[in-house]
Amino acid sequence: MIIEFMLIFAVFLVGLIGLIISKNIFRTIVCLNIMQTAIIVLFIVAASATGEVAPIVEGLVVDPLPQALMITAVVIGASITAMALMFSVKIFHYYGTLDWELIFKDDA
Amino acid sequence: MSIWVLTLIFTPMILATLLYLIDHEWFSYSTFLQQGILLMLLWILTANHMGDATIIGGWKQGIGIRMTLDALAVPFLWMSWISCTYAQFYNWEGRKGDHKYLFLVNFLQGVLYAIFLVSDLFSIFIVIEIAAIIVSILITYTRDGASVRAGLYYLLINSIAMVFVLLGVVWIYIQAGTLDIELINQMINGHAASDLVILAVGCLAIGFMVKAAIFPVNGWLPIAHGAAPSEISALLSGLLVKMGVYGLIRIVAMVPSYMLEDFLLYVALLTAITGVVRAMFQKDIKRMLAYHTVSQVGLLMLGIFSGSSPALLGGIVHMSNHFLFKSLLFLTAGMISERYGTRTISKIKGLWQCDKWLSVFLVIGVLHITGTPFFLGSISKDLIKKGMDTGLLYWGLQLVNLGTMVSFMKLLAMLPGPDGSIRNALTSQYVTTGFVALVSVALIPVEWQWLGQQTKYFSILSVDGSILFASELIAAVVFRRFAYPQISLRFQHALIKTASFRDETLKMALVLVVVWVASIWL
Repeated sequence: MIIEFMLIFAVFLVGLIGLIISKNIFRTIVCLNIMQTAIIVLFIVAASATGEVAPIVEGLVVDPLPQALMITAVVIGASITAMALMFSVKIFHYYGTLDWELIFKDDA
Repeated sequence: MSIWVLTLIFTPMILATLLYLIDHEWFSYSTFLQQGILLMLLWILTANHMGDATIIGGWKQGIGIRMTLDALAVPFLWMSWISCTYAQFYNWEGRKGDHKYLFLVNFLQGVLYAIFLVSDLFSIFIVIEIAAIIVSILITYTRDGASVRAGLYYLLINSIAMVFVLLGVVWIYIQAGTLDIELINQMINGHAASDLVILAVGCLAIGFMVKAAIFPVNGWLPIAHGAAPSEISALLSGLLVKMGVYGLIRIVAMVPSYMLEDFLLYVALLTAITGVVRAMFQKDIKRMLAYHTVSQVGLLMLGIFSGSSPALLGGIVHMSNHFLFKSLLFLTAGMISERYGTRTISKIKGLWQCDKWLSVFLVIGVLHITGTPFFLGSISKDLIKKGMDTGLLYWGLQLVNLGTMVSFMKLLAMLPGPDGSIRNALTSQYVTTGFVALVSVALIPVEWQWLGQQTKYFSILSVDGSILFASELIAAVVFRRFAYPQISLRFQHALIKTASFRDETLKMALVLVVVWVASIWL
């Protein structure tokens, strides 16, 4: 269990560090997705600790709530990504670049 | 109560969908009917169901979605109604044929009611994310380059903040086995929470701090509020920023942690001071108002997290007061910038000659925000000051008020001079702005009456307060006349620079580390 949590933490850190160092909007969106994925996997892994079989089978079952919640979180993440990509396409049309600093260069 | 609450949330959403499908100008008028129905529903809920809770679908607590209507949620529901009303009708001549805009605002209205009613952590996360998506579309509504980049900045910063919230939610579920705020509170039941729960609450706190534009991560607010259409800026500044404060109040009430409260108190003081200093030197009228929002939110958080009862009451009252006068100022600023075709404050001259009504609205807003005796700002600021015992906090508050005065003298300088306007404003803009101004003025006697009954600390006219106000006014005039031009010349460039996206993320991560280290060690 500890190894799984450490791996998930490493994935989360990859996303966070990527957000801090990336200059490009596209990379920012990808890093945001990586962070979200790390949290979703964390919840699924942590919930599987209670049991091993699906909730419709008799026996020691997995807690079903985290999986239901995480499906919703996946949907939210997908729509955020779609919106952000749509905006970045528009920004590329206006400014000809996806570099954060170049885009905000003329901002007073 | 279940049926009333569901009607309140789903009426705007269903009508929004119908408006989008039936793309006819005559059908847009149904929003008038809808706002009336929602007003009645709100009245029924406030009068009969205050303090009630209901679980949708009859599940047991902890599994179903629970809705609570407590004393904190009610003012927010009324604020949602007022803000969505002016957002729809401010530009009615232009917007009534615009079914996409009406769809977005009405859907947002339903989501806003849901935010302030649901009481489990995951549902709060979901509805806040939906609100962020809709608001980012509304920010980009004019579809020019500046607004699209502002919308993307807003969407991404808020999504990163909400990723931290999601991490906190997951962590709390792993520790506590439930997401219901009341059950978590019962589980802790006055004992000190375990370290891991405190760390999880730290994650939630950083997310809501970004939502509330608390120092240091508030770079998104002036960018987003500056680029959005005026009525959307008013809605953002008035309501959506306070959504973060609402979340913070909820989680501090859920897991009492003195460390977090103290941390929020001093960060709020920093927010109030840095916000007002940056606001003083802005050239753009909407950016200036946006930075004042940062400072006023810091001020009301000072009241809420100071731990004394008059200051807490003052903070809550300031929340609704600030909602009204900041909406009024943003709507007025929108009309002014439309009439003059520019948003640079120094280029706008002769407002009194040009438009008497607009000047009256502007002066009412300025009197409210600077805390002039007998106006809304002074009522709540006096209460907050009553609760301050530490010298540092009290004088910090005075400093913020002084800065606000200096800054708003710049706006009043727009009044004299010959008329220089180029366009006329729409009738619906006058009516909506006048409605907000009227509500803000009509609230003054109501608050006198109500606060007089609630607390013994409140007096209608405090002599100390008036003397302090007069001396501050003199200090502000002296500062504006002598020190302001030099400082402005030397530091303006640094003070109006916007924060880069990478710096904001770095700051967010650093604040999270600081909160964690502090909560483990202290």
